[in-house]
Amino acid sequence: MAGKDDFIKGLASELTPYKPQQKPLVRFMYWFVFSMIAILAVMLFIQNFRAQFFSELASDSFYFLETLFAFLVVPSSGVLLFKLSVPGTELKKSHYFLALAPFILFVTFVALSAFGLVDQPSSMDGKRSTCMNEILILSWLPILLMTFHFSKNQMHFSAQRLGLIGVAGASIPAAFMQLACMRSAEHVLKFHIGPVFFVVVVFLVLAFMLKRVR
Amino acid sequence: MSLPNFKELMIQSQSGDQNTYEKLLQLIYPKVQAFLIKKAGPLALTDDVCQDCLIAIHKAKHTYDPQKEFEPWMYAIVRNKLIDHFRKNQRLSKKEVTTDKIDVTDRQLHSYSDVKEDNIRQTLHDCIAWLPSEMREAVEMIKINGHSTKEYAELKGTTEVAVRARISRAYKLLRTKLEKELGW
Repeated sequence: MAGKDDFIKGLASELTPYKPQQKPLVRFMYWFVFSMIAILAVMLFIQNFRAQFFSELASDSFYFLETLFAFLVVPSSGVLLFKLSVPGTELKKSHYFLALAPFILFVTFVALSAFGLVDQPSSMDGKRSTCMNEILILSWLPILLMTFHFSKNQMHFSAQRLGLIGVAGASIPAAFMQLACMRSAEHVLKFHIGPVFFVVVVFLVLAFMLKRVR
Repeated sequence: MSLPNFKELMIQSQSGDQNTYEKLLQLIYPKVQAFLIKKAGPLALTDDVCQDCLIAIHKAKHTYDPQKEFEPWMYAIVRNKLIDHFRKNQRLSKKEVTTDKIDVTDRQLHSYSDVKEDNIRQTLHDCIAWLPSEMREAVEMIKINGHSTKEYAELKGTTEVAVRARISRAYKLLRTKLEKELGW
């Protein structure tokens, strides 16, 4: 098979020394730090963070945990995604559950306050008129970086992966909103967590379309 | 005869050893081919899909972790490429119109197909002429004049993978343009 041999020779002739890509955790750190800094910079440029967020975190353990879970969503789902971006990586269902656990806890904590099951203070201080739009727009930066990385690694976009990319990307601005925007559980549920779900739904629809027409 | 150690060959290839890499590709080619046949039966384009798989493996070689096994990594890429192939075919077959769905007599069909064929040929010619010069040249040299990708790559002082990518992009553009022009 001359065609096959020529093809292989041609492919081999393009080989130059290369380094294997870094470990998923290192790649995640680059993505995480870059996305966090970029989003933080844009958010600060738009409007300063709420002045008293630090004292609230220090004095209110419920709010501290809620915010901690919001920020933990990004590393938990991000690390898993970078592991999944390596061809041949098989993960158990429990890994997905663990990756989403901080998000579930964050939503649960906010819902408990929003539905009055836990008494939490609420104030209009630091209200950002564009918080929802900021989340929807700023989430695209980490999402695009992640999808580019997946494509470069010759990986497919399954529903789980796209859903998880949506959660990881949209959770960065949503987590910062805990500190930047007004403190009201109902507002957080509608305008900070709502857009995360919206992005996830968009990505699941995209996954469905990709399966059919790609 | 001992079994080839793909992992070792892949690790050696990282230093740019083209002979080892060629040996590795020669060894995995039949494995990829067998995998494709096992998963999808004898495909009309098994060799094309197999070559696409090897290009994908070549492009993703930096993702291989030398501490892990080689084969699960390789088969994951091949599986992805096979799924790509099926999705592409599914999309194309949806747009195909079979003759049993056209209610015409033989005579009508012949005159219709003659006109249609001329029309398609002319449209295809126009569409190729419409392509950006680099892509047009690649399509004409390889697909019409019958030069190999290697010859063309050497002529243009570029790589075979770059030529294949150019042809692939040209096909995508042509497909879109033809769909628009012919109303498919």
